[in-house]
Amino acid sequence: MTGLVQGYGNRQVIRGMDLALGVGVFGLLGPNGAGKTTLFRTLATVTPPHGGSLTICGEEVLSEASARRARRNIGFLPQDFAYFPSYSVYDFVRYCAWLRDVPEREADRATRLALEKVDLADRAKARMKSLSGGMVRRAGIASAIVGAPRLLLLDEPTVGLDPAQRLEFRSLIRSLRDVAVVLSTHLVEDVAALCDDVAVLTGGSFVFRGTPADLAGRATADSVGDSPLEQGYMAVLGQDQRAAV
Amino acid sequence: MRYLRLHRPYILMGGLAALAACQAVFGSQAVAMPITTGTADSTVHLRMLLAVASAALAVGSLHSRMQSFEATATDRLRRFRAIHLTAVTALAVLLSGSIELVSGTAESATTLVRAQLVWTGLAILSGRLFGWLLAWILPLATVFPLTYLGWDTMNQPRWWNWLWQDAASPACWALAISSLILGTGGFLGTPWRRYAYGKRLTRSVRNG
Amino acid sequence: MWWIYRTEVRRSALRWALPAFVAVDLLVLFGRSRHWIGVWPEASAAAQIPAFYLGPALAGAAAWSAASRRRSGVVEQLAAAAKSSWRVELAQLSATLTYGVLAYTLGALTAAGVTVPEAGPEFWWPGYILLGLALITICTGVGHLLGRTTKSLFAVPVICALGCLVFLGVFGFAPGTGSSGIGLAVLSGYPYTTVSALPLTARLLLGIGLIALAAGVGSHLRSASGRPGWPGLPLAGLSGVGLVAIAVVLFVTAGPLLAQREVPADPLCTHSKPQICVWPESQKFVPEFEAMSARIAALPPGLIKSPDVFYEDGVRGGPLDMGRGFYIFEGQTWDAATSMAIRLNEASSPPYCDPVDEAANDHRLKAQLELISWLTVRIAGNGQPAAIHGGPPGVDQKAIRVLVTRPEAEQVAWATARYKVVRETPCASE
Repeated sequence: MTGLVQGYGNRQVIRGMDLALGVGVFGLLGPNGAGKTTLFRTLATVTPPHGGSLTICGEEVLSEASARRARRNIGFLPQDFAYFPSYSVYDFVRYCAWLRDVPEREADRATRLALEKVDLADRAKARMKSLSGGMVRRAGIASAIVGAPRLLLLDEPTVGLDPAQRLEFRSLIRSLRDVAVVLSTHLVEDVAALCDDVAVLTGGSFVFRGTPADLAGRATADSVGDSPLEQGYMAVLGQDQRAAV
Repeated sequence: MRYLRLHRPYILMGGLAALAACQAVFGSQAVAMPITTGTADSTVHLRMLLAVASAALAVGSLHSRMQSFEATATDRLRRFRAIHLTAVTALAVLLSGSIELVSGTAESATTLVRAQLVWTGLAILSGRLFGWLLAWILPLATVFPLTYLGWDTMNQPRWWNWLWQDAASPACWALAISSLILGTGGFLGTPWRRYAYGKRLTRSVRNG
Repeated sequence: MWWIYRTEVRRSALRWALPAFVAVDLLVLFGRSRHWIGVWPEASAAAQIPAFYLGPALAGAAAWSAASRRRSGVVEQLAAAAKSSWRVELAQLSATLTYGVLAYTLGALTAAGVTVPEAGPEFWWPGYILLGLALITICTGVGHLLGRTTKSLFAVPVICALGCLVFLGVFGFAPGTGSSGIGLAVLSGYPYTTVSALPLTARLLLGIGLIALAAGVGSHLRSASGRPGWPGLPLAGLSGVGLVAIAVVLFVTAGPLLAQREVPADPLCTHSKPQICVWPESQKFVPEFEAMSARIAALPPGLIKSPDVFYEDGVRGGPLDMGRGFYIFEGQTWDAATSMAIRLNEASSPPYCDPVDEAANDHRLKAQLELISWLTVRIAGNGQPAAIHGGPPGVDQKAIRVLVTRPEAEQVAWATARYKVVRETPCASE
């Protein structure tokens, strides 16, 4: 993204943002209302930006047609995703594979592989409405990774997962190859465990870019938080608020 | 007031008003239907079909977006809902009946009111079976047998054809009362009551 | 796409409604009298009638299905899909349409199956069947289109179902079938009419156009409100609009749905005289007409003159409303007997003249109506069917039924008296 401007009506949510992503895991932190979900929706080409340019896997996105071509490489898990209640888990993930234009002859294998990766292969025939919250979230992750997308956008993917499942999730992300992952989360431990780079977004702009270690290094003696990364995050936010004043 | 706001009375009022306006202006419009016997088609007046919608709308207003919370409510909500259902049903029936009394005859108004009562009972049953938003299923489903199968070989309306039988037809009034009783039973038959009744039934069958 | 379609069909809530659709179809087919069995055009028209109810039901069901998808909140995921929005919509719309078409097809096949053993030539008349299919498609398209605009699981399905029913009832029937309308449904299929190809094509095209419109228009309908979409020509939506526009123009310009058939090359005629000639499709009535021909021949020869041949409407061409033929109404030959009685009476009476006054006219008319009623009962042989009530005004039908059981001499005397009244009616020109 170069000079990205995004908003709703007259309200600007993202202002002149530059972002280049490569293979690896990019963490996105920020308070509620910072613009994380708006950024995700823009990266997922759900809505065109108000300004700036967007290029996904070499394809500059300028129109509906180019947006749809770009989406073949994007796996997107929204924060509040929904599903057709009568669908089975397999149906749901296979449907998402179809939405992403995964070739028909590979779709079945890709679906089964995705379900295995999230440990839902034995629940493939279960109806989505019969799943627990955590299982639904894992099915959602499977729907995002099916067909090996090159850009994976995960908005709060670990909500509802128990600690063991979060560990499995981290293991899954680490196992992905040649994928640029953008991970938005409120859980700094996930950022610490997974991310190569992290950014803090507030008020529509990045107030920090660097590694998790760099972020932890921003902590001061009077920073609040239970871990160095949390303290660094709070310190960055605090500096931003003081700068705003 | 919060209960009222949740059930969006403006939609109900707006809907009933729109139906009433259609009834006043177009109620006498004849809608041709193919019937089963002999001589070409029969017609049903539009006001009858509007009465289906009116009954279903009144009952459908029981739907609430906070159903999962309401399922755990106490007696207070049940009383409110009973009053709600009685009031909207009475309003819908009074509205259609009054308009028909003014634009038609006392006989046609009575027939219309009777039909609406039958559909109200069916709408409550439908709402209980399929959800309040689908209270229209059973009432709408009766349109087919009434219009297509409701005539005998002598071209007379069958005894259960509450659209065309005389206003004083005892059989059709019995149907209206039965429908309301069934609907009331459906409304009162909460999951716990059905469970308790089922247990009592099983016990009495076992005890002979 | 095939897998998605199969999944949508398998998982659609409408699978629970399919038995009801099939029940309605079969009840409509066999609930109406079974006169159509053995007559292909009537069978085809009868198999089409269920579309009158299935169409509105599918409109409501399609609206409900489309709205419940939006309600389930998958809008976000669909907005991020690489697949074009019309494919996504078409998959669901096709599944909805499948259930309606399945019920309708089962009914059509059943009608064909029971007709085959008794039927005449010209196997199956697809025109009426396709008309019903067009109606179902049109209603489903309208329902899905309106359902996409809302999350309402109440108002829009009810409006679609009742709205379609009312529209069909007020405007939907074909002109010339006892009502006036735009020709989306017929009530019967007489052998002398057929569905014209161009008007039928217009209706089918309208159905396809509405499906295309419902699937293609407004990919933004999937999106949450207030957010703009990517620029680009909405080709799918434009195609739908274009198809509908072409269909509407064709609909308006193609002419009436029903047209009179050309004279048959080989009409079926009775062996006995006077001959009664019918369409080949009316084959199953020939034995009955043989008996009627014999009964006509048995009428008092000096009193009753008979034409050599009676024709079913349209068999020898010419305008249908000139009273030159008879028609078989819903399997009953009573109306045919009445038409023949009128022809016999015309042939047996002196030429018409304007009577000198109203009283003379009434007197003559009463006599003629009584004669026609008597002739009808004699020709039909079995008495008036239960489904047909009443008779000409001022004629005591009960007395006529008693009369035909009396000795022939008594009947001749009775008829002679009435012909005397007709002959002796003073004319104004005298």
